[in-house]
Amino acid sequence: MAIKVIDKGKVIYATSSGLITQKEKKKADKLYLELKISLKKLEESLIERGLITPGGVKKDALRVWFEVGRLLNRIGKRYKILGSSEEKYYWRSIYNHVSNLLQKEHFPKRSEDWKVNHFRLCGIMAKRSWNEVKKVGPWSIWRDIFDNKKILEDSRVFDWTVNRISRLRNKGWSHKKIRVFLYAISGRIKDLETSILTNKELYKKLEEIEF
Amino acid sequence: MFKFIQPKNIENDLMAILEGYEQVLQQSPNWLAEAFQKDIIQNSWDARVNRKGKEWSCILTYLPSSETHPNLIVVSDTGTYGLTGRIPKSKEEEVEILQQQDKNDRLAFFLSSNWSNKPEEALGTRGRGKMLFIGASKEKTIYFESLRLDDQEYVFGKIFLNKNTKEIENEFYLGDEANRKRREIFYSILGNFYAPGTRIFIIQPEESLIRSFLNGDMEALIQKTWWEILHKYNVNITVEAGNKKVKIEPSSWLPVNKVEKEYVYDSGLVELDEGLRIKNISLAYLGDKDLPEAYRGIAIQRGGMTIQRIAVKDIIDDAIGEKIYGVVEMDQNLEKELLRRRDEGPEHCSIHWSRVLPRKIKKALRNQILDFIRKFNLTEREEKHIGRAHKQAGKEAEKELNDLARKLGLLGEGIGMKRKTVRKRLPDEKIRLSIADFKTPSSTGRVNFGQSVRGTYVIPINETETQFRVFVKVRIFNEAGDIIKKEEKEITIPDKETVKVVWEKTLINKGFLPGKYTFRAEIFAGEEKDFTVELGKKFEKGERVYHPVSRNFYVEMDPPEEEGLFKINYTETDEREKYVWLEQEDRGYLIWCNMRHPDIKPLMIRGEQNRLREFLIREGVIFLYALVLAEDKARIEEGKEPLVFRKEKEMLLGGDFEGFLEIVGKRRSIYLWERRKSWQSR
Repeated sequence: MAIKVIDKGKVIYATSSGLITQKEKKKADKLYLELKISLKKLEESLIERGLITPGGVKKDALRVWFEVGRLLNRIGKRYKILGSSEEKYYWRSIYNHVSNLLQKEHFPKRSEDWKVNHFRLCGIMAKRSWNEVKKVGPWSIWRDIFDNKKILEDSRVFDWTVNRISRLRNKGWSHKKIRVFLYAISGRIKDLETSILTNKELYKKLEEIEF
Repeated sequence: MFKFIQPKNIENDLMAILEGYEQVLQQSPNWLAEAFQKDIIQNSWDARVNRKGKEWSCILTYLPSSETHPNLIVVSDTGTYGLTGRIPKSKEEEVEILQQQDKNDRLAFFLSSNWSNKPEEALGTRGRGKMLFIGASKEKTIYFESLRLDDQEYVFGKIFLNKNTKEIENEFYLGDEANRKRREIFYSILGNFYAPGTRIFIIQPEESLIRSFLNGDMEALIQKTWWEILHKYNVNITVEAGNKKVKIEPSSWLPVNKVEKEYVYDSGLVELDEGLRIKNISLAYLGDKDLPEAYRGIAIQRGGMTIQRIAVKDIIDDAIGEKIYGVVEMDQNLEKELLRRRDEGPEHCSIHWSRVLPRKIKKALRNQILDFIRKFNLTEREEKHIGRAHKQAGKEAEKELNDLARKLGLLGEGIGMKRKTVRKRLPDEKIRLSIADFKTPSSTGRVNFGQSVRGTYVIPINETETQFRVFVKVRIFNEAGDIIKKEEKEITIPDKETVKVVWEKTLINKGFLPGKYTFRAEIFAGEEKDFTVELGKKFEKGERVYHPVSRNFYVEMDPPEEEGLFKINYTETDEREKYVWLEQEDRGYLIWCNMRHPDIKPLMIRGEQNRLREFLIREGVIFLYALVLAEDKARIEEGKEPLVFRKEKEMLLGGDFEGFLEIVGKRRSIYLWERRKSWQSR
């Protein structure tokens, strides 16, 4: 399917094939509208619950981004976009809908790489239950995890890291210590192509990391 | 005809060498002690039998004068080869031996001045150390004894400055005669040698040297210079003075992770040039912790010894520099190359940072420090945004500076460090990827719809004798990182036939939108393999075997013009020393402008953008010519022609700071004059 994106004031129906049918266009319009309404509603609800001030200060950034991610996952799944070749346009298009309340910078440079698009990262986080997400720690820790591209690259490494951090946080590890831990992981795998390792081989390497 | 060798006053040479040490160690009151321990231990360490210093020891002893002997400093080592090799019977014979440069002729080289037989990777290679030992003696006399590993011969002798002839003379004895002579002079002082090694006696050492033995400075100096071998090999270096005997313990300040666990950084291999690599740069941020003065800065290591400590503030020009310290370890090829090019001072206490290779090291060091700072968010400096008109004025200044840089050739092979260099195959890498056949229809890299890029494949090469299963990944992706084509293959190399991974050609069809694309290939170990014998390493499964190789091409567009060398950034800080300054980046330079500086503040108000532009150009031109000057100086030292300062060639070779400042100032003046004139004539 196509995704409706507004880029520098121009409406584009983005598809990976470059071709688009009328039916797809209609569907894209529908998705566009749904995203607009749902995100608007979510913003209102976040303000109402005091998670965001009317001035845009996030009182609980983790909860805010979790709820955004959960909503976007739900819509993306319903329209069968996640995992498709159009997924990158989907995450790009979210910047057309969120207001300044949520995202001050219109389209940050780093989000040009769709794999580290901020909303995609929220979506990755929100694949877990709120309880699991909380255990990892505040948004700043999640941000640090996402900053390590190598960790994001292999979902097994990502899951292992997140689970391990939950355990370490439970033991009282500070953010600073977690950062060293993340540094040790990315240092260990930076020159590894983890995709060719079996689960057993990969987890053995991860478990052996010293930090 | 009369022909003879010029008489030479070696005493004066000796004094000049000592002054050289004093100068390079910045007139520290302990300069003699510092230089002495460095040279004497490096001589001994270079002569060790076991590479890791197993059974090696070096004992430095101070013996106060007694009825039987004057004040003495004695340095004894074991686990070394001793003064081996041919025994010269005359000056002529010695010269003949020296000319053959056989590293086993240790005795002949020991008995000479300014000759050295050591291989390039050895620590001492200029034969200056011996002069220092003689200079450290008030009587300009040293004695030596050695039990040689090769023939178990015992040798005892003396090297001294003949006050009449002003020449250095040698006197030595072998076997029983040597033993007799030694007993005559040092009978009751130290025991006999039972294992190969060497002992050197400094007769009537200088007071400052004695003091360092008595007040503990010698121990501290050894610990900070030799921390690496003390840490890695736990070697035995002992200092004795009177009843005190101290085995030097590994330093508690290095390596950096002994002090700091959290804010530490290891760069891993950093490639500078073909086959020349920094093994590791380790850094630590100390925050509120205090570090002894002696350990401040970045220690430049070679062969286990700290050659020099360079202040971080001199590398990154940031207040945070004072809180960072660390170590640069080079790989053997780089160490050899530095010595071959004589980029290290003859005293082994300094590096000639203005030369090409040291500059590359410094640049790499700087990049790693900046990475470290970024990684841990250690600095608060951030780019401040300014109004549109001022921004435009800054851009204009930037453009003018970049145009001038181009005109002066700074983007060519000179400071063209800015230019991204295509990494070539390292000569010693037997397992690699070849991307040699990649070709676009146009040499600029442009390719149009309907055309093809040829040779979009890599050939995995394995020149070892061992078969190796590897995993090769190839991708074509656009600037946004979207993958257009990909392929992964697991193969065993070498194979009977050459394997190409994977496309003979890539047709540019509608799947490609206009823009920049990259063809990139990577190779990883598909199995665990031990290449210790052939390559000196083992690969674990999944490990990168060779660096990624890539080529760019441009669909329906010409490649963009190269970025400029300079970029102007604005910041606000109350640090008074921050005005306009230069920061080297990976591919160019940032010119920082402190908007809070009282001299710059008035230029930042509305309507003053033209004055800001002119100001930035005036300041920027100084930096630009200073960079050209540094580049030209390095070029001349390398025997190349200077880019710009051709007339000033002689001056650049021997000039001092004032002279450099003057010629940079003159060039700036000429440039600004010409610029104004061409403006007015428009």
